[in-house]
Amino acid sequence: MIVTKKHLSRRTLLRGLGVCAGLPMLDAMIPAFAAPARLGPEKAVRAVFVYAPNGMTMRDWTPATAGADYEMTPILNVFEPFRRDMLVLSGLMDHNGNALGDGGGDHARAGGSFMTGVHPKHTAGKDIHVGISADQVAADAIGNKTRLRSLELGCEDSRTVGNCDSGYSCAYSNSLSWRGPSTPNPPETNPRAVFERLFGSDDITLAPEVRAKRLADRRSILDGVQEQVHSLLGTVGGADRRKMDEYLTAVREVEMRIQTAEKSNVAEVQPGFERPEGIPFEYGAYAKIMFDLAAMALQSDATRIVTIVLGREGSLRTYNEIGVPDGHHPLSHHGNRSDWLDRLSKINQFHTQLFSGFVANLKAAPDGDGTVLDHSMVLYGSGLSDSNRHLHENLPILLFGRGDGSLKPGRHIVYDKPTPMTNLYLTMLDRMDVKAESIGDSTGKVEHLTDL
Amino acid sequence: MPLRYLIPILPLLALLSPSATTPSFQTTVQPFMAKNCFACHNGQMSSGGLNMQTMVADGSVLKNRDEWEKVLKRISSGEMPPKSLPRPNEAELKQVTGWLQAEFDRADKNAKPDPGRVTARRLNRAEYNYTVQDLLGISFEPAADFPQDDAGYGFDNNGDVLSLSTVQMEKYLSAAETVARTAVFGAQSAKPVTARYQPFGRRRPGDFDNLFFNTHPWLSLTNYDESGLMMPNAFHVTHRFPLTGDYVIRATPDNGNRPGGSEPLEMAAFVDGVQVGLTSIDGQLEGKTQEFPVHVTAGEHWVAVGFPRQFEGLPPLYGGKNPSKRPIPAGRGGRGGRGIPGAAPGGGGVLGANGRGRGGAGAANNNDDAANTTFFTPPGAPPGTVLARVDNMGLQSMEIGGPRNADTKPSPESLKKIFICDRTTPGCDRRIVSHLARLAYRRPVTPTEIDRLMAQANRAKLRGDSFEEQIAVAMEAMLVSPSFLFRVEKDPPAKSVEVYRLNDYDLASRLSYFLWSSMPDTELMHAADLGTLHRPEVLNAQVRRMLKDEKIARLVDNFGGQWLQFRALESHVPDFYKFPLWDNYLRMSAVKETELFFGSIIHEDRPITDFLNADYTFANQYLAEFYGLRDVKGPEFRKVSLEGTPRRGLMGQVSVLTASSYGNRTSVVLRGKWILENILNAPPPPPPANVPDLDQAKVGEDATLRQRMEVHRANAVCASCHSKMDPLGFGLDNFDAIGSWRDKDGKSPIDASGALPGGRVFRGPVELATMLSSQRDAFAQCLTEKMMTFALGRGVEPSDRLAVRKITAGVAAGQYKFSSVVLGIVNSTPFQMRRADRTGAQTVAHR
Repeated sequence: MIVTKKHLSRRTLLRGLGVCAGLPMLDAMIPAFAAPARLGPEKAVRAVFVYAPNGMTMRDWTPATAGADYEMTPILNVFEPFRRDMLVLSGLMDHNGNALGDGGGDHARAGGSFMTGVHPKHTAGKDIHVGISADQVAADAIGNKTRLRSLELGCEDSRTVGNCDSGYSCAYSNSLSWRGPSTPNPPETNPRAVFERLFGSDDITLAPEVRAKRLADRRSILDGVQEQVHSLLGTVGGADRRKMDEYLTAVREVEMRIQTAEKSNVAEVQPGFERPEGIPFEYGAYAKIMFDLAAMALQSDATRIVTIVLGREGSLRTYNEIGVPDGHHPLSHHGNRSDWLDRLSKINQFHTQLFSGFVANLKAAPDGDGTVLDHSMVLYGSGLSDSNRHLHENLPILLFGRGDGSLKPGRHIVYDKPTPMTNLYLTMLDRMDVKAESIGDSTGKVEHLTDL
Repeated sequence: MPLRYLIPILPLLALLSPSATTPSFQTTVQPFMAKNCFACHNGQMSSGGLNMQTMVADGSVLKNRDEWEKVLKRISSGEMPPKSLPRPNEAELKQVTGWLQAEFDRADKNAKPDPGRVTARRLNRAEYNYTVQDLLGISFEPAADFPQDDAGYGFDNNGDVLSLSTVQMEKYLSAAETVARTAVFGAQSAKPVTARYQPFGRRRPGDFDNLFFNTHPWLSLTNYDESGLMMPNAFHVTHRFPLTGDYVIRATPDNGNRPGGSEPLEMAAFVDGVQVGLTSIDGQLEGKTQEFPVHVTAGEHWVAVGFPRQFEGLPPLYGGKNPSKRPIPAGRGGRGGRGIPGAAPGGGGVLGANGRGRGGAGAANNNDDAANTTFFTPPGAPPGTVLARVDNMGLQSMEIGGPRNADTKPSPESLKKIFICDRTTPGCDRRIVSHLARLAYRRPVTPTEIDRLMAQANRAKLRGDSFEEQIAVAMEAMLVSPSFLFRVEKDPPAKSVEVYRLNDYDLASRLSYFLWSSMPDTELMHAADLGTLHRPEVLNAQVRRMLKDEKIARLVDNFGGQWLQFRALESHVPDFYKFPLWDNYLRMSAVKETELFFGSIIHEDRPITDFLNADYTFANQYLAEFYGLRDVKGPEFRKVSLEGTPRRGLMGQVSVLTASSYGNRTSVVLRGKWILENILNAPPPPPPANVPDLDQAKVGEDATLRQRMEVHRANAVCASCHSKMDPLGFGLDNFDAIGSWRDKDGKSPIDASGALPGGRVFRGPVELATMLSSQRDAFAQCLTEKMMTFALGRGVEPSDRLAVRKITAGVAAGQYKFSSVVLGIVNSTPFQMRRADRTGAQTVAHR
């Protein structure tokens, strides 16, 4: 839904966000953007989930010691400037990514279970089923406070070809975020579409009254189709009914967004860079623009819940630009050959390097009494550790930010007992005042995030 | 055979062979198993995860149908028992396979027919675009920005997997507005913008030598692609133009120049292969941006910029065609001295070519760099002759700017499709809305449905909007309706109906979305109105008509692109340094080749075995060079014979060979798996959950690929599948990761011998193709199942077996013609019928 505000003056240009640098601004292209939409005085704690595919070169990831004064490793080195904003968490697991009798398909399962904690049903499509993901549990609770209930971004377009992994539907490896057990929230992979979602794609030359009319049309049309789908619901059964339910849910959510948008009396800002035309050819540029858009969305409080998939699980991407011509997935089956590991590590380092730019942006962005990073919990990790052996335990996980004082970063915490990832999510959600009984296979909350 | 003939014969047989009883499981299959299978497939070993000792009860064949189907397949093909064990007695084998098949057939015949149940399908991106285009005569692609569609069973039109998120709904609303308003009022004007492209994996100095004169030694300055399109310095992109209008293609050359004394260099722009502009540049190229104004229709186009006739107008000594008539500049030759004195421009014309062909300000200035330079030696020139580089020209970037003077009037076609009556006639608005809704919902619409849409129009009317505005708002509502966005097939109201035949409208939709990825056209709707569509003669005539329509190209793109996976080339990035020949032009050419090839099989209704062993294909000069065909000149695609080349069918095409490789190397496993999955219908089971590590130390660093793979197969866990995949893949090993021919992989010579799963041995790709095409029934079944998955939008289930077998038999009877597969599917029970499912229905009161 495109929120239509009158075109803006520069006075309200959002300042302080690092993303403005480097990208030229074409004022002709900047549409109306309704932003920092704090709807109330309450604190806005954000949760961001960043996913790196195909596991990690653990050799170059895990710090040798626990506690505060650990030595950085090759992959984490880039985070030295953020040491005091970062928790390294070792010993977390995603048990439901394991085969549990279902055979191959660890990559699909890693993707499907990472944020749901549920064992994905082994199916190429007929009855996809996993669970609602942590970000969506949060979005259900607080999504109505912002213009967008959540934002899902991906840095790998997947006009999918064939089955994705061992008879698993591509939905599992494409989507980390699940609205419901059989409704994936596929990531948006086109920067331009993300931009338009955040800043609007409407013609800014339209007169305000025309826009108001169009908005009214949409509301009325949504009313109309709800009526129609209700009558349809009575006549369809089985899976068809599920589809109509999905449709109805989507319609209601869009309606709510329109209402939220209309209610919010917000300042106007400019996005700070021009509308991207498409997907940049180089991966680095691609990831950067997606991170920039995410940072913009967080700072303007367009949403408080963001998921970013750096590549889909099982990704075959080649990284020629950093001298790694191998496909990522085949390379991740390195057979412990040191030269393969070196190249794999290079990819992992490239990802953390790109991600560190995002962290830097959040840290540079003022927000209330601190920075956006202070008020966020930014998770970075993968659903596999050693992907050569498809290990779903001892996952590589980082947590950045202070969660508005609810985290005490600056340490490497090692959980001796294998602990479900979902316990971490439950804890994060708790700190956003989202009270969930459980998520997937969670057994409680994790400890030591504030103390030692 | 009529029954009465059978009656006397049976007792006679019994008489002749008094001991023969009716063959049963216990007398035929069981002893055969004990003799040939139990040694490995027993409780202890369970080889391949199969313990056949538990499958000995009488009813086992039907109870464990899946396993037994596999057993039948493996023993029929000769794959089992493995070659290391004695062959079973042929007569016994025949009896067993015959008995099993008969048992399956009997069971299928007696089973309650189950046509399966296709879940309501949301239009995917391609279908949405085509549907609104066909419905309203617009020409842009509103779904281009929709979220990606997930795929299930290999295709992105699977009803169960196509979900609908909030974002998707937002896109639908916004697209409905754009589509309706464009159709009624014309496209909203767009601000001109500039898209900038940089050459794909920038070329480096010396590439010409490496790419052409070394790898294509028959090419020379007088024999090359004169259009310039296939030369390494051409640049190709696919660009989406938002509106029909005027655009500017702007190309900026890299630093560089031609040898002194050359005539101006030409630069040309092409849209969809047609030259749209020609300019020329004299002297230094740096900074001399060229602009080509073009008028382009909305949508995706292939845009290219290149240097035509680039080896013409050179100084005569180079030996190119149409040499320069200009004098060679005097005074600049003095400082070089490496070329022929006085003749070589720039004193030997040595251009400092380090750093991506950046020549520097002039030949003579760069002699210090001689060590880094590439010289040009004219073919047939006296030894020691070196001249200036002739390839020091490239593109830094290309920009496409626009639109200006965009066509923002509604198209006459749109207006004709919408405004079917005179607006001054009372009730015209309702007529328009009813007419469009019937097409958009692909069925007759109820007065209530029209009322709902008219309510939107009336709301606009009340606030004083124009007639067009009223229609547009109603159209918007139509385009976000579930009846438009989904293909819902409603069960008949009578609760006693378990299985039913689709009504003609639903059948028309299944047909049109299968073959055209779009809504039924007027003829199909007319046949549905008459209620005759389901009649075989009407249906078959419609199918034949549809196969001839140009919209069938959508089947090639959507079905073919996913079955053969050439869609994957869009995001496939081969290692540039290993495969410098790979560029956008090759990518686009490769896809085009396979599309044309597939299309011609449909148009000419060729046998499907052409997919496997056709000795023809479609090529432009670039592909032809790849395939060793020297007399194909120019960028146009044409049908070419592959006789005398090692390429046959799909598996000789760059698209398939590249899509079944990794970016930096080939994989016999990937290619073998590709053949098993997409040709032989014998997909290997997924790899086990925890693959044991290959002991690399044991393999040794210098081992050939084949040796490595053999070590791999020595491991029993790996062997069961890899012994099938790898030998097939080896047959294509002469083709590298972009489908180019090679005799060696690194240092090791290629050994392209291998074997089919049954053990039949072949040498090289041509024999592989021949042998695969002799497995035409397996292939027919494979193609049938893939196409059925696509046609139905659901996976093929065990209950579809009988239907698949019938279709496959029909394909054999129809000389394996392509149309026989399509007709078989369209006439099958799963395509024409549906199982009812009323769970959850009626729980919401009708409002």
